[in-house]
Amino acid sequence: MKTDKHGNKCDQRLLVHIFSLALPQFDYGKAITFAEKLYGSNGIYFDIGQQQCLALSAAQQVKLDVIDGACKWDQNNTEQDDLFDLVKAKIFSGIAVFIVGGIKTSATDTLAGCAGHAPLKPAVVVSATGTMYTLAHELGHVLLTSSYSPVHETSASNIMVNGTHKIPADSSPTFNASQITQIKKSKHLQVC
Amino acid sequence: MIATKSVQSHGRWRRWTASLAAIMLGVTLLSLETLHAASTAHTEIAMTEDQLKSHVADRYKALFGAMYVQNPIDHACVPLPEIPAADFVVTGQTDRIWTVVHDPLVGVIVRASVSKADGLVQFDRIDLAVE
Repeated sequence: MKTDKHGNKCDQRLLVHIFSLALPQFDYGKAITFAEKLYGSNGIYFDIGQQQCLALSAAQQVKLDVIDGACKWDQNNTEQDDLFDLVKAKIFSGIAVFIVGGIKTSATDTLAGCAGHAPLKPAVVVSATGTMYTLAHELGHVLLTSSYSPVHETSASNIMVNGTHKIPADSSPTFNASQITQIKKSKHLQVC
Repeated sequence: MIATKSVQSHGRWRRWTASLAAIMLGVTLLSLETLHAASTAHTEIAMTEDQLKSHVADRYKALFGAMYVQNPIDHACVPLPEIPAADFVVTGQTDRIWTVVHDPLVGVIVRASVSKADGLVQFDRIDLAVE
């Protein structure tokens, strides 16, 4: 049986492709290591297919630096569609992760991340102003799907807490047993 | 003879008193049982799911409609948005309460308990989901 670099056995594989449009203010290396350990400890190999910095035109940079629009289950806003169009030729399977300068659902509402996506465009958007836990949290939403309740937990020891800024620095929040059962059914997981 | 009649009369009096006491005890026990049943009975108000959600949405608006919360990402103070009744979900119930929540991907998280006895709505902490 395969094992990841942290010694976790691999039952299933989560393939992600990470595309940066902005420099994260959180510790990117820690965010990746945390995600590897979190999913790996549950038998899910966190497999990074590609990590790229996207070269954008000046107009694209202005438009996509901050992603504006609604963040809702099972749909993309226009700018999420624009993001996905940039990389769709590079993705054959797996989930796209976009690190952007900011996310706004309105003039006043700023987000750290958004996991809402069109059904055939699996992707999450992570704000550069998010935390080292945001990436793992957003992928958790995608794997749990809109059918899972509760969407957010109240305990900061759970990665799906309602705001990863509540998680103490350098701690190791986890999924609970019910979440893991649901995640393991995800169509986005592949055989190791 | 007289003495004998006196003893019989006294015996009848005691039997009558004992019967009366037994009846009184029975009545008392019945009253206590009725009182106990009344105090523990659950009179459930009749409410459809739509009425329940509408009731919670109205109470949320009345209590929090004018309130502002701080966004933890940019620290801006933003008004709590109105939540349409249809966006609430009844997620469970016990003998005494219904649980009604609004738990979106992003936005305001509301968890409420509604008393089945009188419709009283109790809100847990209102929170803002930003990711």
